[in-house]
Amino acid sequence: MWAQQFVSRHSGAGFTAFVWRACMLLAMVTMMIAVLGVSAVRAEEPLSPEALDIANQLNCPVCQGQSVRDSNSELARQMRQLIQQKLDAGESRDEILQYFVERYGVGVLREPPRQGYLWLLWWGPVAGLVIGIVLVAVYLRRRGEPSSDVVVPVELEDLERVERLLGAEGDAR
Amino acid sequence: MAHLGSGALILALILAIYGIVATLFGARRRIPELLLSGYRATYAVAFLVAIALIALVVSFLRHDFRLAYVAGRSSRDMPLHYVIAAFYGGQEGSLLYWTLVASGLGALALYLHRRSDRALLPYMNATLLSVLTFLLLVLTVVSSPFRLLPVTPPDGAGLNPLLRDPGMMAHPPFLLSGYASFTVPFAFGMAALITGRLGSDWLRAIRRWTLLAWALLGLGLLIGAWWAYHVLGWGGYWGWDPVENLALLPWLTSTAFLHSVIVQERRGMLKVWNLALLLATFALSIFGTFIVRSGMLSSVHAFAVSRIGHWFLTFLALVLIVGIGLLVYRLPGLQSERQIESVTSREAGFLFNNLLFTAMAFAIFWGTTFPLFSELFWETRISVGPPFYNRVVGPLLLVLLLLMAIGPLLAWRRTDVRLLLRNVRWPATAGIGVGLVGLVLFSRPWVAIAYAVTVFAVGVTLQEFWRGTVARRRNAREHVVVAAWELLRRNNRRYGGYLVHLAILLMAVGIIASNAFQLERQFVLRPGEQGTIGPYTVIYRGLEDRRTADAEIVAAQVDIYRGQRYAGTVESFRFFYRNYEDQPTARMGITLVGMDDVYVVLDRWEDDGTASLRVYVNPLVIWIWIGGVVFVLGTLTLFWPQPVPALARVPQSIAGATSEA
Repeated sequence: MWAQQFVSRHSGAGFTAFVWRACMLLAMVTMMIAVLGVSAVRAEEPLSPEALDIANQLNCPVCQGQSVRDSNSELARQMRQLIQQKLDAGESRDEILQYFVERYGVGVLREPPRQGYLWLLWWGPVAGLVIGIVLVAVYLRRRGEPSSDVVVPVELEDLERVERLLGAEGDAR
Repeated sequence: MAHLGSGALILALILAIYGIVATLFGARRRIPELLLSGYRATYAVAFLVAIALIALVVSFLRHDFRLAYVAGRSSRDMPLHYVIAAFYGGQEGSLLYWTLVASGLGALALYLHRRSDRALLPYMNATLLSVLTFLLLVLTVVSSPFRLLPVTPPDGAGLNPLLRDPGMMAHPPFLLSGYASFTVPFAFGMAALITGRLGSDWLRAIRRWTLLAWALLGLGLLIGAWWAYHVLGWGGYWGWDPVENLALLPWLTSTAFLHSVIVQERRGMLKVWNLALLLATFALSIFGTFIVRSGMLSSVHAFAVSRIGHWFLTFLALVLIVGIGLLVYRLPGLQSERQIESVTSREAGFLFNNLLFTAMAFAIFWGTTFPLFSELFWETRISVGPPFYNRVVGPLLLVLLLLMAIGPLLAWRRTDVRLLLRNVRWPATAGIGVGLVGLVLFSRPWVAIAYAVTVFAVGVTLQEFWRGTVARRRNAREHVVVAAWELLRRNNRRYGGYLVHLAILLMAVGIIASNAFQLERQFVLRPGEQGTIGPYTVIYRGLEDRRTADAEIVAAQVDIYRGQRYAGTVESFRFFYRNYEDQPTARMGITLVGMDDVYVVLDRWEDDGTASLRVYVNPLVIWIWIGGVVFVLGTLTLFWPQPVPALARVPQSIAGATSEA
């Protein structure tokens, strides 16, 4: 397409010269496209570390549990290329990620964003840990009040002895 | 063969149900003959399940493609070892294998404990048979491995390509047997709850069985990591894949159990908690088995999806209701005999250990199941990937390593803090030294902190070994090597445990380094061209096409140089198996240079030989596998039969004092 633009820009020159040049240019451009086209279609252009990093933050939408970076699927390959092209075009990491989220939904991100109900995901483990710490603290605090427990252990030992005697008969309730 | 197999399974199901009725009735009415008959039913079930499994394997060996299962998972051109391994390549076969392990180990436990734990056995047997009844019901009614095809195909479809790898020969059997072996401690725990014999006799009965299941599961996870590293090609070994996570969960809870059970043995505390952990471990094993089959979570293991998910869900619900119900019912009988006296005691140390392990298990469970809830309540499909887990689990692991360092130095009941400080001074100095050097060298402080903690823990553990050896050498006048050996042999529970700690620390060395310092580059190279990554130069030599009986193979040859020095040639493979051409699998080209793994992935290529390669440099990953070997050795020492030296040498003493951690 830019070959046409190129031609039109030079259309101000004399007609024969223009045709001459245009033919030359067209021939060169077709050759370039022919040469470039082969590798552009079939091989993957090298990805920058940043592109690989972005690809690693995206899930391959058609495969199970693999990132765009690691997947061998055709879609993942195209996505990698797209990421590289967008980077080359000067888009930022966030813009690129946003682009894929709009297309494939928030599930395309390997790290769920911290927003809305997804805070539940992020704070869940913290809440679990805090509850655990509180429970352990309560358990440890109980040692501070041995006076109230003086009666109970004695009873329990009796209970256990009784249980042991009962258990010897193989009784089950 | 098919009729023999399905007949054996049906007979096993009938016998299992009979066994439950017989043992329960025999226990209540106290009819020893009936009890014995119930136990024998379990032996018979184990035997019949083994017959069924052998029938299945023989069907595979004879290429009996009348069986849908055989036709779907093997083909004539597959090598023999994969034909044999194919029997657990699908859900029917893997469930049969699960059942065999559960019934085999259950029968063995019944036999070994036939004299020592008489009161528990009827209920242990009934629980075991209930689990087996469920599995046999699934195997006979919904997903029989012996279903026949209406038309016999001339050749089978072949095994899923992901499974055709040496790592896959070992990973599923170990992992599944780990899951299945938790049935035995679970059955003993239930028996303790039902009979109300909540003293420590049941503990002794199950500790070894839990240890066995824990070791098998751990080994299964390790081999899985090794397989992922060599086959999946993302340069890592642990992808936080949902199915991996769910397999890790019972391992975490059983690790917590193996620690806290020591507190119960020594101090009679944490009884409710231990039973809850045991119940959770078994429930998570069922959950892990079930979720692979349900297709509810997106995972690389998705080839095993089937319709039997709701059977497992029902069973899981049943296990949890009965288990929690019994636990609540027996709550009064589970009071602690003693109380914790000090926060700086070994009891408290184990308590914190359990807190961290459960918090970690909870965080992983939360992250793994959250996508289900997200889809259910908010109708949004999300995925929770490695960044979440690294962020949440990383800090917990770090604190756990720190506790691993201090824990062995804590005394029962209360610790003299001054003594503790004196004991840690050398390891702590080493740790702080490494940390300071790390802070200067590395740009990321967490790496320095992680290595400081690791070195500290290694220091304390080695110091414990050294002190024990020195003391033994002095007292028994033995050579250092003999003393170290005897120390390990006689106190295998304590020092074997430290060996496992060392194994984990060695793995930590590799895990931290490969997370922090992994290099990654992607190249598009023509044959003869080269690229550089860190200190390495890779020269791409070209592609080679090969052919085996069942696959076409593309191999990319890459020479690796470190600076100017030739360091080796690797081949990175792509396999295209017949019938599975659209699912190429791979094997990475990995070579160890110094302490770095240079890891080459062949992504794609053209007819003229141009290839796009991804190259990783993974430093110190080798220590993960070395740690794995130490883990196995350490675990083996834990199974050493404990000699009773006090009784042997001083016959007049009656109670042989146990000296264990």
